[in-house]
Amino acid sequence: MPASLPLTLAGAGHRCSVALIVVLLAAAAAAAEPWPRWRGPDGAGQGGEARFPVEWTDSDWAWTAALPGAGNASPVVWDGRIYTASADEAAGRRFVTAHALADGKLLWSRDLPGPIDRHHVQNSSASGSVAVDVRGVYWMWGTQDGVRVEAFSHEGQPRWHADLGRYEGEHGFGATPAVCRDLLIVPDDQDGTSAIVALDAATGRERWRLPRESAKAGYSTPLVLDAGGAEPPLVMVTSMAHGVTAIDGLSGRVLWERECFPKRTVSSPILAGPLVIGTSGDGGGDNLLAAVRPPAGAGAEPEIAYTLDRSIAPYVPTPLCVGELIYLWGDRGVVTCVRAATGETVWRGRVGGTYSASPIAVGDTVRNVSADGEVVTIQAGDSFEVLGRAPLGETCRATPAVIGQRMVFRTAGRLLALDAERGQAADRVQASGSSGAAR
Amino acid sequence: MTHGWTAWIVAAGLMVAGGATAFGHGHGGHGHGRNSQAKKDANSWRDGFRGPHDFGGGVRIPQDAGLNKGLGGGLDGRGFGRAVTPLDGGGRLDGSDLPLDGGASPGYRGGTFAGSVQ
Repeated sequence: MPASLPLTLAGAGHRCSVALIVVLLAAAAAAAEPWPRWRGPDGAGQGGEARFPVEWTDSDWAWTAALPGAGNASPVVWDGRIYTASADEAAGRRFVTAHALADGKLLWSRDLPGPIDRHHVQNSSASGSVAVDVRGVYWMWGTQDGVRVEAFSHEGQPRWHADLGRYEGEHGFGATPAVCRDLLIVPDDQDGTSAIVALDAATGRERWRLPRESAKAGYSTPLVLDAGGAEPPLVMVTSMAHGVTAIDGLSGRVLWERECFPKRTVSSPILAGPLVIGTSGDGGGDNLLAAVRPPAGAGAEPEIAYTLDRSIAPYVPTPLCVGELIYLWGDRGVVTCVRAATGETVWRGRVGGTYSASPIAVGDTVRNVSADGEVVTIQAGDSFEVLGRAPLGETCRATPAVIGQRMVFRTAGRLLALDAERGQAADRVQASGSSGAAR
Repeated sequence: MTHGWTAWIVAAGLMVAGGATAFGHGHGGHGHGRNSQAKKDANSWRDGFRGPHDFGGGVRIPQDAGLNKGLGGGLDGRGFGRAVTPLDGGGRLDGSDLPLDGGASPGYRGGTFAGSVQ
């Protein structure tokens, strides 16, 4: 949308104004809070307050960019750059790429040759998402020959790599690491030998390793809770073997643990007030959501606050908590809104489609992308209402990123950028003292 | 909503394990204090196992506690077959490499997953 406007508006003055707006928008996007892991800070899926369209066409994209391969890795954003991963399975190559948030230009692509394993039809050879911090970019991939963690600088220079040993999982690999201060927390939850490993983010050297029991390979991304200061961060993980586990992020010591999942964990844990929310399930829909209340202090134990069964709990999509409500976007297109404190159902509604991506909150809306590539926007709040639908034109199993006034989608083989509605953008630019020309 | 609870959960979690927290130092530090708590917990854990569709007995303990409480108590009543973790320095209670319930995990048969692809 903004890229095409300077070409369609008549008059040099308008062109200058619009060009200025484009520059300001790009600068604002670059300066906005980063989206350093899939689903943004804390994996909470909070996309800010910008007002984005709920329906659009191909002509409305700010830009689109082809990826060198296909995959399900969600986009992450840091300092004006979009990082993601893809794979050319026929050629036996994987790619970590950086694109400019402003215009979608490919900044660099790193080629990672390696074997391609069989995987579930909904999985890919580049399903784990990139994690990013001030030092650089981290991505992990795995085959039965081994799990490998790759680290690059923001400029794409290889920094280090770590080999974690063989991987066994009937659906294929798809784990995502999480940054925890100067560590990279690597979940290695598999059918074979499982562990959670903390690597030095600067060097790749192993700092601690927590052996884990194995049940069914999981795909959850660790949730890092960091209050800052002298307190060590907590790493919250979910797995079929152990349920919900709280780990001292600096030492790897288990602080508490609560078994609660009868099936594999694919979604990632989130925080809903004082509760840790996780789900487990399988392709048959035999899902379960557990809300675990952490122990309140010495002598206390974690408790199950409530559970929700297969009719409500999602399997792959991660729950979304906004205020007092949790939105549970079911794999088969039924969305349930429950009260975070009690699990009581507020409403249920059918949006249709099937889903692997996870919902995010944007303004007063909740959005998710179906596997068919349809972006569905519903109203956030106490009642169910579908506000709009828009096509991405391609299969999608990745969760979008939101940086200020720009939303970035990743389909199987493309990145697509959408800007907030022009009225709000214009208002913001006017407020900054620039020209008030409408975009 | 989420952000305000982070500090509370972090501090409370550290207190549980006996580590230093903003609330002061928990008793025991690494291991010993928690170990005694774990022994006390053992009975309540066993009492907590109530079979199918019950979460009883699910609590597991820190790796330094020297005791494992993870037996049985699976949601479907079949147990999880993860009696002893490597963390406590022991093998499985029955000395085998198999889950204690002889294959409790759905689809698990002799070290491979026999279930079909979902």
